This record gives sequence, C-alpha cells and structure tokens, in this order.
Amino acid sequence: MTQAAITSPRAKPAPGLSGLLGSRTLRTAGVLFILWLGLALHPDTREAFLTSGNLSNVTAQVAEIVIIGVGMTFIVLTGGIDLSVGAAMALFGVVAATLQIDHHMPAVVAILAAIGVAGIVGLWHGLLVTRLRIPPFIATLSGFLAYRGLALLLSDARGLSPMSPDFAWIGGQIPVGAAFAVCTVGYAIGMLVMISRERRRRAFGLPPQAMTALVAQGLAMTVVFGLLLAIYQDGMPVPVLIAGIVTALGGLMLRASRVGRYAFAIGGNAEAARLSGIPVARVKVIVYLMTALLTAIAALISAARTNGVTPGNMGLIRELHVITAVVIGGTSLSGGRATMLGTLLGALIFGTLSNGMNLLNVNSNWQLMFTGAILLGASTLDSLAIRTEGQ
Amino acid sequence: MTAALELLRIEKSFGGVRALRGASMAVQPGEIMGLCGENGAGKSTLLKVLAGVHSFGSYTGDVIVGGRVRKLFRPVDARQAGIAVVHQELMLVPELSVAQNLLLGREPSRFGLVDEARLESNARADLARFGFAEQIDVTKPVGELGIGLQQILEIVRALSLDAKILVLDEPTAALTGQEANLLLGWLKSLRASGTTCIYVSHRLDEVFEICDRVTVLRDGRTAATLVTSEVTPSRIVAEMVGRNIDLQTRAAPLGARSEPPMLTLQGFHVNRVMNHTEHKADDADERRFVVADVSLSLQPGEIVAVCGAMGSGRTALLSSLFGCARAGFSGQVTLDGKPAQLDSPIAAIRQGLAFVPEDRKGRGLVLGMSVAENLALTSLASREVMGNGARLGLVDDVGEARFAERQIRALRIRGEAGVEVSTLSGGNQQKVVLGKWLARPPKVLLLDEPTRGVDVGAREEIYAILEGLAQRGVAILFASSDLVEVLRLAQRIIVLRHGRSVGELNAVDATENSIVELSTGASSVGAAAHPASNDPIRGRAPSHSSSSLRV
Repeated sequence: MTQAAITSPRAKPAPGLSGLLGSRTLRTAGVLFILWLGLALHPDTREAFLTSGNLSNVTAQVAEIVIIGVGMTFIVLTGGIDLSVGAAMALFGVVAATLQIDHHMPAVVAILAAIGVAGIVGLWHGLLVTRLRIPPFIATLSGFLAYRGLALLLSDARGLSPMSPDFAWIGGQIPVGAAFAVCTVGYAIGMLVMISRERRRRAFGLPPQAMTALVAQGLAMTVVFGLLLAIYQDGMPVPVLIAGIVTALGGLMLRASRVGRYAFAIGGNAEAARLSGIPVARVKVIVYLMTALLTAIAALISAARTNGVTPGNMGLIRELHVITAVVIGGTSLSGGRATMLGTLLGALIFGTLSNGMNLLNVNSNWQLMFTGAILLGASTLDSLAIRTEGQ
Repeated sequence: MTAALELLRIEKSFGGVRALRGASMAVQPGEIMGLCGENGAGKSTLLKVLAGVHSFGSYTGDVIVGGRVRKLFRPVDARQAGIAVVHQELMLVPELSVAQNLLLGREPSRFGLVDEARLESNARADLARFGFAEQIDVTKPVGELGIGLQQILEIVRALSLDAKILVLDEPTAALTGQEANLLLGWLKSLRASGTTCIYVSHRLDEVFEICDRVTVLRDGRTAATLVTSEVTPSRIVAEMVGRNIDLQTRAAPLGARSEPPMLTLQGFHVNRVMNHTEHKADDADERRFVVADVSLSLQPGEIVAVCGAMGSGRTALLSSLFGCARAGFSGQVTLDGKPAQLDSPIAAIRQGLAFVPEDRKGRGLVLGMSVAENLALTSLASREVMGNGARLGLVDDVGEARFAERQIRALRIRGEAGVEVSTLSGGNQQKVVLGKWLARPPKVLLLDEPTRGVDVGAREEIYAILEGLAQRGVAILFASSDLVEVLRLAQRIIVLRHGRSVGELNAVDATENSIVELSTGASSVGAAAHPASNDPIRGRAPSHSSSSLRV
C-alpha cells in the first residue's frame, strides 16, 4: 500500500459514467431511444419497424455515414470541416468502378486504387490547410466542386454497372454464426477493457470509479450486446461490421491515442497546443488523410450495395448528412469537444428518422425539412446547455 | 476658473481587485495634463471610465465636464460630454479611404445612399482645419499612410466630433522619432488654439516636453499633481514608485561561478511582423526590429529578469527564444554550449527550453481540458509518464493520472486532477502551466509575467518553485512589469527600452527607481546636456529647452 498516500486527501471518485460519455451523449442516446419507442408504438410503423430485417437494414444504411463520421469527428474536433466527402465518394467510386468494368481489373486492385486516390486527396487537403493556410471550409469546398467534376469526366458521365462479382461481398452479409461470434468478441473485449482499466487504477492507488458507474457501464454494454444479437439474428451486413470496427478503432484513437489527445488540444486552444510542442500541422494532416481514406471505404460500400456507381448522384449531399450526425452527436463545430459514441448515435438518429419517415410514407420534401429541424433542435439544446453551464 | 474636466474620487473594482481607489484630477481649459503611473497603477482603468467603457454605477465618483456632473453609462455618453479618447491601438479601417474613415458612422447621405462628394469635401474641410490638407490625400486608403499620420488622423477624427477634451493614450508608442516629433509639435499648436488634452505616456521626456502639469497615479489613487517646469523627472519617478519595498526578501546574489553559460545571446535581433500595407520606404531600425541587438548570458541556476515598459520588447525577446518569431530573427544564440535552432516551439523544447507565456488562458492552457490532461500535454510521448504504450502512440490515462497527482502534490495545486482547469484560481492555473514543463526539468525556463493575476500567497509559492528549480541548475529568464517581483526574484536585471538593452543591474544595487529611470528614459532626460546621442534608437533631437529640465 505504498501508493495509498497519493489518493488520501482527494479520494473523490474519478470521472464515472457521465464523465466518460459526457451528459450530452446520454441525452443523444435518450433521443434515439424515444425515437425507437415512438416508431415501435405508432400504429402505422409498429409492425414494420421493430423487425430484425428493418433494423439491420437501417444500420446498413447508416454505415457509410458512421464510417465517414468517424473521420469527420476528428476534423471538426480540431476546428476544421470537410465539405468534400460526398463528391469524393463519387470520385473514389468511379475509380473503383472504371477499373473493374472498363479495365477488367480484379476487385482487389480496384479497392487499392480507390484507397490510393483517397490518400492523395487527404494529403492534398492537409497540405492546403497546414502549408498554404487555406481555411478548411474553402479548401474542401473546392474539392466539393472539383471531385464530382472529375468523377463525371473520368466516367464520361455514364452510370457504371454492374461491379465485378468478387466485389459484391463488401455489400453482403456474414452468416449468423460469425455475426454472433463477432458480437461476443466485441462484448468480451469491452468488458475486459473496463475491468482491467479499473484494476490498474486501483493497483496504482488512484481513486476508483464509483461502483454504480461501473455497473451502469456493464449494463449498457450488455443491453447493446443483446440488441445486436436480436437485430443480426439472420446475419450481419458487412458494412455494419466494417462500421463497427472503424468506430471502435476511431473511439480508441480519440480517447487513448496521442493523436486524439492532440486533436482535443488543438481544437481547444491551438496556440497553447503549439507552445506545448504539439506537432499541430502533422495532426491536422493525419485527420484529413484519415477522413479521405474512410470516405473511400464508404464509397466502396456504397458501390457494392447498389452494384454500381452513378457519378452524378453518388454521395450527393452526403457531407451534410455526415456533419449533421457529428453535430447531433455533440461534437462542437468550434472545436475542442467530441465523442465517438455521440457520432455513432447521431448517425443512428439520422438513419432511424429517415427510415421512420419512409415507413410513414412522408414525402421526401418533408423529410428534408424534418431533418433540418432535428439538427436545429439538437444545436439549440446544446447552446442552451452551454449557456446555463457558463452561468 | 471652472476646470475643463474634473474627476472626483473615482473608484472602480474588478471582483475583489480595487483598480481605482479614489483617483482625482482637474484639467484646466487649454492645458496639456500628463498622466503617469506604473503598470497597474490604474491609468487604463481611468481611461476606460472616461471613454464610457466602464458603465456609471460600476464606477463611483464624479466626472465633471465644464462644471456639469456627467454620468457616463456608454461610450456615446462620453462622446456627448465632449470627451474623446484616442486609444493606443488605432481604430481605423486600413482598407477604407481617409475620407471614409474620418466620417465613419456619420456618412452624409443623399437619396438613402452615401453622398460621396459631400463625404470627401467634409473630410477635406476637417483636414484643412487642422492643417493637414496638403499632407494627407483623403482618397488614399488609410493603410497606405505611415503610422504617424494614421495617429494624427485618429486625433483629427476625434476633434472633428467637437471634442472638448482630448485624451491620448500613449500616442507615440508605435511612432518613430520623426513621426513623434511631428505629432508633439502639432499637439503644441493645438494647445495654442485652446484644445484641452490629457496625455498618457510612459516616456517622461515627452511628458516634460509638452505637458504643463502631470498627475501621477499610484495604486489606484492620485499620488501627486506636479507642475513640470518646477520638478525633475526623478521626482515623478519617485511619486510613481512611492513605496519603500521591504528589502529583506531579496534574491541572493549568485556566487561567482566558473561554469560555462547555459544560454548566450549575441547581437540578437527580432524582426517586426510587417503589415504589407505599411510604408516600405520606412526602414528605421525601430520599425524593423522589435528586439534590437540584445546580448546576454545566463549561468545554470541563475535567475535573470527582463524589465521595460510595455512594447519594449520583453515579450518578443522571450517568445522568439522559444521559436515563435514570426518574422524571423538574427544573431547568435547558444544553448548549453551548442548553437541553438529556434525555428519552432517543438525545436526549442527538444533543446531544453520551456516557456510560460503571459496570457495564461489564451496561450498557456487548454481551458476545456482537465488539470491532468493539461499537465500531461507536453509529456504524452514520454515513456516515463505514459509507459510502453507511448511507443505505439497511446495515451495511458492511468499513467497520466499518476503523473498529474505527482505534480499536484509537488506544486501544491489546489484542484483535483479530473476537474476542468478553467475552474481553478489564477494562481493554481499558473502552477499547472508551470507544472507541464516539470516532468523533466528544462535547461532554460522562460517566463513572461510569471505571476500576473495571481494572489499574494500563490505568488510566494511560485517564487519558491522557481528558486527550487534554479537550485537544481535550471537557468531562468523572466519578464515582468512588477518591480517588487523583479527585485524579489532576480539576481540580475536587464532593462529594455524600444527593443534595446539600455542597462544591466545587479540585484544588490538595483532599486525600483533605478529600473524605472532606465526603462522610461528619465535618466537620459536628466542628463540632457548631450541630447542627441543619449537615445540612439529614437534618434530624436529633443526640441525642448534643457534649462527647465536640468536637475
């Protein structure tokens, strides 16, 4: 007990559940829960909504948003933005599709090529923002315009279809056994990480987390685990699997890696970060690069799911969907505040909303307006919360 | 005769800090009244009261203009009362023309649009009234004028609003000698035509040149009102400093050491960041360099202070040593015997420098982060703190928390590791900024205003931490405008004026007076017998008669 002395005077529990998620994330989860409850109870959607097939479909649809959202969360955290992701999806999709369809390349080559182009695009954005000091809004706005033009040019504005057969697995499903195995492994890792982290804290004599917080975390993980088993009882879409892995790694990077911590510092106070010896430019390049690579993955998923690429349409206003999800998730557009779980929940809210409105036969013009209203509502709540905290 | 402006027992507090505790002054019509005081004496607070920035009610006491008590709630009240305050930072829009700037906010209109012709003719009339119609082209963008003419333009704008009392805050701070002479000459002619003026300046030579009387503020009160023709500059300095500080707790002089120096500067110049609209032809030294030709040497374990008035280059010197010179620097810098590479903070840190900036909240801390996260910010790549995960780029939050607890205990930071750093008091925040450099003590620690906004108790604790570091061989170079602090902490004192080192004092011999005299140039005013050579950078031949100033 040599380290006991360290804790004694301030043995207040370390940040618990609320500290880990931020109350904002709990609120977001609450909104999602209410949405699901409403759709599950509403007479017109009761039957269709709460089926494993429908929910599995919803998650597959939001997978693209989640995957790009993980990168966008980092960018927005540093105080930047990427408006080019939708157009970039079209460009990467066209690269993958023309190689397969026009040049009869194997899927692997097409995938690597799309990711390679994404690497160039990401580095380009990083370069514009850090070396030339062009505001991210402008730098990526130019991409927003240029990449779709390039996509149309490369494809002669044709729709490209069908993709080669060895590409289809990206949009496919993994069998139920494998799905359950994946969920179980994820669940076990989550539990183990939580327990070992807590044991390590105690071994070093640091103030332990409150038992209630630990139990609540464990309970939440168990509920999600159960939900996943129920939703994927007929197998899990590969996009969902990819999105799950990306989110987990993204969350780890955000919370537990140096790059993540530096991103928080840069968004919170770039000058203090610079004076602390943080490689500000390198971190910014990393987040733009990462987002472009994730956008390529999303483009490949989209191409596989629809078995083709229409360069004029693919990823259209996707950038705004992604930013909406990130903002609903509680990431501050002025930088310095972000959670990966929030982005995931934000994307799910977005997906649930469009799914619900489709089930209710709401026409698509109203859908756009509702989505706008939700974004506005989330931001208003947020700024009200900040104002009251400030007082 | 009714005073043009009278201030009676003005008091103003910020939280618990009483910035003004009954400041009074009376300015007669047609006189130029100097306003002097050390940093923190309450000058800027008093100016803000006059400008209507601090609303009536938040200050107490009377502002009497021409015999009428005026309640200044808002800036517009001050303007209506006839008070025009010209701030140190110019409030001109560089892209707009001279005419547009002069009439900004009161453009003449015609059919609902701006009447350009009338605008220009009004502007010409204003300039002609003050004798600048020839020198200033009203159609030119303001940014193309020199700083001196911009300053004059700002004053013309204030006067054209029918100001009865003109308040100038350090109007020559950014000017070259020639420009300053032009301005001072013009102010004298304004006085001859009856303008009343309050002139705030650190430069006693100027005060003696143009002011009829001087009000000296000290600790928020009026210490004295003196007639310039009857006193010496040293008398003003004595009133500014006022107190006899307790000389018992003073820095122990460093014993003679033969160790090689830790840090040396040879002919160190820091270039001024040039605005592209600024005059290209103007290449006066003073305009080109914020720090000019400074040489110094620091022993391991030595604590050295850099003193000087605001804008003397203190901050620029420290931050460029930490790799923050935006416009570049020249000169030789060696660190621990090797030539130093100072092109970025990262490079500076790698070579063993650490920097505690003046602006704690703006540059020192990430306010939204916790105490622990702020403390660990500089050590995330260190395996000692983060364990083996550091190699993989991981942050070990347990390692981070342990490190934070260690620093919190060592520095006696009153605040928990997990709370947001913004909730801590100023002193504890400052300890966090300091603490993030102490995972591995630096070779040279640079501090800009180490205890600004820190209460007295925490101040002593910070001094103790710094002295402890010095004993372990860290060389410390700090800038401070708090002379009590300088005398308490420093073993040697370097005084800067206009970017140049004008003297080096030993802690044993230094007094507040000697520092203030060096940094304001009061000593050179006193020695006005050889006027042209005693202030090489200003290069200004004093036009005042030396007879009235001779001690």
